[in-house]
Amino acid sequence: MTTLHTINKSPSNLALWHSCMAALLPGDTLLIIENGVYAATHTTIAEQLSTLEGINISFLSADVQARGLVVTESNNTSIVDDQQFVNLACQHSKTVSWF
Amino acid sequence: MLFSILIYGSAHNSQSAHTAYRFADSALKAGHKIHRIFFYGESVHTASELSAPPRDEQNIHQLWKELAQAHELDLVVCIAAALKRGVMDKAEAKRHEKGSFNSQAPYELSGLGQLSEAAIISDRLITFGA
Repeated sequence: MTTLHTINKSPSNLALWHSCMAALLPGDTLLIIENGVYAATHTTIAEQLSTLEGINISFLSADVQARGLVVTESNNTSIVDDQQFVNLACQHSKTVSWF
Repeated sequence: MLFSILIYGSAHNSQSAHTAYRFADSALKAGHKIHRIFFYGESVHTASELSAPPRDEQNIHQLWKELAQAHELDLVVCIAAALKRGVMDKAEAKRHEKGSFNSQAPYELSGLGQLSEAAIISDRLITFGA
């Protein structure tokens, strides 16, 4: 039973990000949306995200593009569109929204 | 899959209602069903049909209205959150002795029981925070 987490605040809200990352379990997906996508430019948070084991990190494509950011995809990091957001919600039995 | 969507964010000061709209549109296009959209907190302003954003901005009130009409969606607005923010339909305006109203179908003012019911009935409840 895995969970889809969404987070929509920029990493300037560090307390929120730390609470969120502490709640992630293996098999979960963290979908980063809205101003959350600025995490890609935040050195500390980006590094912490890359070291999370067994967690799938996804950035919502439209929000990344709207802010002119570049997200590098890797083993555990992907860029997803709105349709894939829906698929992620189906694949995980629960959703938790961090805001 | 049967979805319900809970929206918190202000229509004009948050991306919440817009992200939720894109999610709902994508879910419907993929053949999923949506049991209910619940507008809570600041998001109740989405139900005001007197908002008139500039033409180069999205009219989120209109977008939800058209999606609801096309797919017979249940757009429920938290009645307590709406009334204190001056969002009311004809019946509530009359009950509170107001001279005008600013919300009507497909938006419907109702209570938190509708949110609980949506959470129980639906396979997934997705929250779009403020």
